[in-house]
Amino acid sequence: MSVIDFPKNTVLTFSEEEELFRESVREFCQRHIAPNWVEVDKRSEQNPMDIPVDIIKKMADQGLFCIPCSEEYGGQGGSYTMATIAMEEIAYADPSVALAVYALLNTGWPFALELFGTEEACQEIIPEVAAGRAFFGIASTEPQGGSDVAGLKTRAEKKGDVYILNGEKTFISGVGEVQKLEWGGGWFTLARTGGEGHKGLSAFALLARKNGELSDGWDPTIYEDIGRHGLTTGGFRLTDFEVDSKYLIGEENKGFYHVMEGFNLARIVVAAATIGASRWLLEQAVEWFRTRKLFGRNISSFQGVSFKFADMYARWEASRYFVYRASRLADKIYIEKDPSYKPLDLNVPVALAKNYGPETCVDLAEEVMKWYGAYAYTKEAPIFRAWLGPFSYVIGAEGAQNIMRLIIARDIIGRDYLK
Amino acid sequence: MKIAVCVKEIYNLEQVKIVRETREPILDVPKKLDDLSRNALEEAIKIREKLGGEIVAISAGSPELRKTIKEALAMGADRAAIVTDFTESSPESAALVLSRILEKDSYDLILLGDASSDDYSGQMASRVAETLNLPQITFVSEIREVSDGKITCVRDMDDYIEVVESDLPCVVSVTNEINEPRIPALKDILKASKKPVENFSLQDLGIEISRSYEIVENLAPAVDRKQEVIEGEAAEVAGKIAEIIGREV
Repeated sequence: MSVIDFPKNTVLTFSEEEELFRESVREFCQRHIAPNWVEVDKRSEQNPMDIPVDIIKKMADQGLFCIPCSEEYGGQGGSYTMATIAMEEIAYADPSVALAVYALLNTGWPFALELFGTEEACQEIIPEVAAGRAFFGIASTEPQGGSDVAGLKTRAEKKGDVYILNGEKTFISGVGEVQKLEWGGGWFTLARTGGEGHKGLSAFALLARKNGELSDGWDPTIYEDIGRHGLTTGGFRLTDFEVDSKYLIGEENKGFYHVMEGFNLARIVVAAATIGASRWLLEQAVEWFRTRKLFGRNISSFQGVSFKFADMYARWEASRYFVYRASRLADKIYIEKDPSYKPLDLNVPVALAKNYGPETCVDLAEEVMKWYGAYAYTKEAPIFRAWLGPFSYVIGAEGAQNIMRLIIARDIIGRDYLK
Repeated sequence: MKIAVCVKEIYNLEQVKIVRETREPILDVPKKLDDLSRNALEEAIKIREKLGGEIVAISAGSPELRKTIKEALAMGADRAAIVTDFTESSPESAALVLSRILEKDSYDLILLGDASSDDYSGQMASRVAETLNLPQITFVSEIREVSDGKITCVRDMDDYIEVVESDLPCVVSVTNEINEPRIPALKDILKASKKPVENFSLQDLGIEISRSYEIVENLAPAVDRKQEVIEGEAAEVAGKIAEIIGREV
């Protein structure tokens, strides 16, 4: 039973199919994810390579990856809003957001591959990702930083039908999964094929492992994260790593534009995951308010508590509007292919969702921990896991918060007035 | 193999709230497919996977059923035949309506849940079987075999089990232990909207509903809490709690 009676909504509405899909994802998550998420987080904290392959397989069987990808590639043939609904529900069941992030990376980036990649690459990679046998995420960050995408240093030299890549990528999700899953996988990545700046970058589908075979010239490291343990983070060095030209995504030296569209798509579902985790946190708070007494009164009878809750609730509702506004817009552009909408139209709506959703979630988690008091500071209470996991999106995964602010300010005020 | 599965829409019981003062339920909640209907449908899908054939979801309910029936189609029914102007909830009239729909086609097997999670009257299978003059097997926890015009089922009678064989066509009602119903995936949900749904009215079926009984009250049970307070040192309180648990459980 839902802890909170959410107010009726005539603005943020969903079709019968979308509601049925939400119910089905929720039921799947209550059966397979909610009872196990804490254990997954604990086990993978002890050993990052203890990857929840069994749950990943079940999620694949339920069709929770590659949601908007075409059925001809083994995708689900759904909309981006359907993907958004799924990520919200998965994160509600696993508020550490690890499994939602696994699902969203393996939805947003295969979809970006389908938009810009070659037929051969799509036929080879997407069906494996959809079936839970391969991971396909994003690898753009390098040791010198993540936000300055245009300044990245990994080079790709074309020799005949292959590109030879040399360089290093850091803070990349899925470095463990590509080694552990049956088929393998890799990333939508960028390397420099031309001169300096963003116009010298090309995008590639980089497969570190395929058909169970590791590729030469790929040297990985696994990091120890502070949260979101059910999904590995790591880095890798590329030494004369060969990429067949069929894995070039889009046109040579246009990779920056393709990856930016991919980021817009991925950021919508990242924000969706954080509103799902926030819903779990709101319910934790309300359950606590209904039982906890202090000075002989309900703790929420103190306005210092209830007013703060009201503020956080308002931020959560606002985040949800931002997220679904962006997903509906993505459907217009990429699913319905309505010519009145262009990819750049997504910039501000996505930046608002990605900026507001994760910050709301992390701030809410901190408040809920304070309302719970000392118990929340013990590992017995799982709330801290819903704080540390989403925190990765405030730090900057899938785009730093100040980059989101920059996008909003740049597009609203005007690029020339920010110089 | 042509299988009819009679399914029921019920209020989403998890969302039903009770007015504390009057104990009346607040039924302003969405409807869903009953859990035991899903068990019956799952069993039909398993039989179709082995033997091939067609599954038809049969149901009678409110106009909302047009939406609820999509759950059955998404789970795996090939088509549906429904009545959506049936708001009378007596088992007697429901069985009559379902039987009239069933009579419009011929089926090898008719599956139902043993009861529904809302009123749990458990009469539907027997009433439908009697109306259609078919053999019935109730409380089925396992369908062992379907072949050569016969069905073999295990009946769970709590204290013992029975293995029963019947000729087909036959009416079979299942318990919730029989399986774990599948959860429809997105592809199934998207396909569900394209599956045919035949919508009858009570008039089409030549049925006039008459009430044979009246619901006088529909209230949540009153539970008086003991509100027993145990005081004392921790060890003493723990001992008393252990004693109560030993006595009450």
